[in-house]
Amino acid sequence: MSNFINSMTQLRTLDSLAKNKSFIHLLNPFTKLITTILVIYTIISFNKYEIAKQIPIFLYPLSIILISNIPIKTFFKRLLWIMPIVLVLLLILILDTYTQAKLFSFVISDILLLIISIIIKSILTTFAIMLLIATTEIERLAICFRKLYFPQILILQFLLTYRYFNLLIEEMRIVYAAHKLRSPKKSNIFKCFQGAILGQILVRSYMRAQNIYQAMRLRGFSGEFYTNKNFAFGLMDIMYLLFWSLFLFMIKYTDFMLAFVKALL
Amino acid sequence: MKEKHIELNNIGFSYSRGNLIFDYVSLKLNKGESIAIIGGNGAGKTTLLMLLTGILFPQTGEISISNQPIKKENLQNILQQTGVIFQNPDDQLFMPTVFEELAFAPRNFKFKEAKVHAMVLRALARVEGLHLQDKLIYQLSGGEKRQVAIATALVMNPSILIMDEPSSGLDLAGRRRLIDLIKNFKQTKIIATHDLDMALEVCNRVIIIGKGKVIADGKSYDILTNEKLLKQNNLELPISVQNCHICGFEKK
Repeated sequence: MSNFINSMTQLRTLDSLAKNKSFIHLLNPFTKLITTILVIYTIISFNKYEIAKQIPIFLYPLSIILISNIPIKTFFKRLLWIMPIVLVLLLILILDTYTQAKLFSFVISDILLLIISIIIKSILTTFAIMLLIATTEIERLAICFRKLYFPQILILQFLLTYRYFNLLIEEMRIVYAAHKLRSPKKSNIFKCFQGAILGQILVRSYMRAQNIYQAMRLRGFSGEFYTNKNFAFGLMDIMYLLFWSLFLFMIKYTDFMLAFVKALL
Repeated sequence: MKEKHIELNNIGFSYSRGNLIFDYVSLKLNKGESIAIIGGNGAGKTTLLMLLTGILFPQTGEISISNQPIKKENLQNILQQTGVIFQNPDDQLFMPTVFEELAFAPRNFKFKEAKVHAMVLRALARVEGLHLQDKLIYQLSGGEKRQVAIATALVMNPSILIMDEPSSGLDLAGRRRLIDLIKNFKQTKIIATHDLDMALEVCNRVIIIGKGKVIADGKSYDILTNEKLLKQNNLELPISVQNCHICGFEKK
């Protein structure tokens, strides 16, 4: 439980990382959002036999992590969260027929190919989304969605849910600490108490969310978030977008990148 | 003659049937006054503040600020005149950074960005918190959170400051800073508090509420030195006017 709370608490790290001042952080959020969408689109457009072609895309997260000074460790921990979902997906898809396929010069089974493909895709898409959040403030992203004509109510839900998540973590920490202080020898919460504690956490976080909403209303909040963020496109934004578009195009439609990776191997 | 700022006229309010919080309460609060609202737990102090800010609406009667009745239609207008400081600053601070937190209200009231910047800096300067502007909210200490919460209330330069237990959770130095700060505010101040020493030092008028009514309303010193009245309302004399039970020292 405490490990779970600790890893949840690390979500705040992404908030802190988004405040850095690297070249990537200073880019227009639109540029980063469009690049992320392009990366995810390219990843999911590959079929399960095109594993080798997906490998060069790892250059995208690696280069962003290096340029924006984000500790790589932060991301690997979070990757573990999505693994249970990936495993469930795999279990469903594993019913596929058994055939053989070729990866580089190795002959491997179709199922294995499927497993590798899904794991690579999930890692890359998670990396892309986490990098977007770690290099862009959540409010800037929300404004970005708003300018793309996403419904206001959805954006508001997104922002408030993000903040509510933090609140939930805080309440979980408090309740868990209160429990631990009175049962120091037990690291886990007894099953018979889990329901009551969960209910308590939800009620507490709901009440706090209510207070926060009142505080927002008292300061003139009427459903729209305003921010002073510069959304002008600069030369760097255009260069960045062009570079990654070209990179993804080459991966998707040419074998140049594949040959490059083969040469490295 | 003192200018009337807030008026409560025959206010009736209850959260549920049979549990009357206010039973036809009427009050007049004047411009520039510092008023302490005191009473035992559950007396309705926080509810009164919520009624004054339009979070709750009375079931009977009317509340008006500067002769303007608080209604849903003019709530935005009323909110510009009031600054509220919550009991728990964690319930009040929701934006990622201090600057964004303070800019929230002026941006909602559609001030131009240059003006927003100036308003934020002025509010932070008033609470001596200019160094906090780029900090993340969750990195702040308890005292700093309180400073920022006060600055959020001051940022719109309201004519009324409403504070719910402002000194709770502060260390002695923090409490002293807060008292000095509040004393300097020229606004009409309404403070719901259990800290009777602070009330005695900061406020010129004290109102005791309980059992749905105004029990006493008068000058701070007169009320806060009336031991019998305070005891009847689950309160006790402020420490600064108490005699010492240990050494026998008697205040004159």
